[in-house]
Amino acid sequence: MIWMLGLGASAGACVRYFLTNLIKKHVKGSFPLATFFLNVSGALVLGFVVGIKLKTLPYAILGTGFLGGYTTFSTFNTELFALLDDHNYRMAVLYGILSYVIGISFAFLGFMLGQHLIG
Amino acid sequence: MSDKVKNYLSVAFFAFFGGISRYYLGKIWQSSGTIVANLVGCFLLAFLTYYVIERDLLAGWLNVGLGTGFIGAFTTFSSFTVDFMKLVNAHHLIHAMAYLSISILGGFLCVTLGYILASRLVKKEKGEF
Repeated sequence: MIWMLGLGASAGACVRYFLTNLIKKHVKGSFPLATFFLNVSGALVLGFVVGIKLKTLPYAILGTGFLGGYTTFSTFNTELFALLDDHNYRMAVLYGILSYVIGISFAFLGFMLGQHLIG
Repeated sequence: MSDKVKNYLSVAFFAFFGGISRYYLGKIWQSSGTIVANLVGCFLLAFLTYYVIERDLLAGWLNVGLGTGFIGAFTTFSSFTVDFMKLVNAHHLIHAMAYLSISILGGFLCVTLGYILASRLVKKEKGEF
């Protein structure tokens, strides 16, 4: 079972790597849109997965594995630090607040959608 | 092998171990496992970015594998938000607030520590110390 979780994390990280390169290529500007998009969308889907009460094994593969690999806390904080280091304070505050507020709200939203779906 | 293929294989290979390591931390410490993974990962990624990559110590595919792959998959934003939500839903509000503030402040602090260590090492090696 554990290797399946690992493969889920590999797939999630590859999708993250792909989308990050793609978004960075097309969207210029100092706001780290790629990581922001990955983290809030991953929070929404993980909330949903918890809401529909997925069984242990599929949860380990999709939730802990794939979505854990797809979202990232370290890149988010390192980008936040880099913005402050560049004296881009407004963007840093915006990035931090939007990520936390929307990320957490999306987790709740996904959870409620999932619960609603299974009735 | 093209660099692109090499990078993807490296990300996949290292992320496998990053995800599994986080899973075991979660097994030992439940939601605190996510905090430990996230904070340690923040420190490591800052150190990798500002020391290992800055000093050009490793091949590019290895930097991508360790940073985007291992550390990226070791840390997680989605579990952080859902762990917090579960604490709120269970009415463990003090716990929830502690979890939130340790993650937010700790994550940033650990990046700062990784950066400070990295820049000290860089300065030392350049003989500025």
